[in-house]
Amino acid sequence: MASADFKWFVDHSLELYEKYPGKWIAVCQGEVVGTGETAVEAADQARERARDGKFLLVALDETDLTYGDLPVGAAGT
Amino acid sequence: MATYPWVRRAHKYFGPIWVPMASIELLDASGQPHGVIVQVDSGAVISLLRRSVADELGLSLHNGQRVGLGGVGGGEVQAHVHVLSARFDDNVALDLPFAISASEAVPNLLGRFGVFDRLSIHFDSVRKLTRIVLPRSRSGRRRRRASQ
Repeated sequence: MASADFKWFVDHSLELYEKYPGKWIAVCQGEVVGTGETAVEAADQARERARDGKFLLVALDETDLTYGDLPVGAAGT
Repeated sequence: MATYPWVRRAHKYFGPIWVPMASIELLDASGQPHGVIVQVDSGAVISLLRRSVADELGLSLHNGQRVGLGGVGGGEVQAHVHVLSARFDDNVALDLPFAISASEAVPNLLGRFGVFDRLSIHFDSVRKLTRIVLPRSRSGRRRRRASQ
C-alpha cells in the first residue's frame, strides 16, 4: 500500500494545489515541512524539519504540464 | 503489489480531475532514498523528471544520453536519460530509465519505456486506484501457484 505521506497528500491534494501553485513541497507525517521553487529548496527545508528525516517531494504544477490546459474542442471534438 | 489512490487536482477548464500518481524512492549514488511523487502516464514514451530532482540526487545532468522529447501540439524538451534505482512501496529496487529535463517546467512522470514493459500497471478508473505489480510479486505468485 501507499505510504502514509502519500495518502496524506492524496487526502489534501486540492487544498495543497491551491495553496502552493507551481511550488515543490515536502510532506512528512501530515504536514508540509518544506516549500520552494525547486526540489532542492523544498528538501533543504525538510531536512531541518522532518522529524524522522524522511519526507516526500511533490511538484504542484500550476497547470496541467502533461498535455497542457487544452481548451474545449482542441482535441478535435 | 503497490497500490496508489488517484489524486484530485483542479483543472482550468474541467474542474477537479483525477490524476494517477505514485510515490517512488529514487536512490542516490550512496544508496540514500529520496521520495518523489510522479504522475503515472501511459501516454509518455519515457519517464521524465525535472532538473532539480537531478540536483537533489547529486547527478550530473549532462552525463546521460541527450534526447529531445515532444508533447501534444509540438514543442521539444531537451533532456538527458539516466538509469536510476527506483523503489516502489514494497521495497523492490529496479533500475529504470528516466529522462531528466534541464528545465523545471515539465511534469514528473512515470512513462512507458523500460517501465510498462517490465511492470504490470493497472489503472482502475472505477476505484480510482493504480496498482503496480512488480516482477518479484508476479514470480512469487507463480511460484506459490506451482507449489500448490
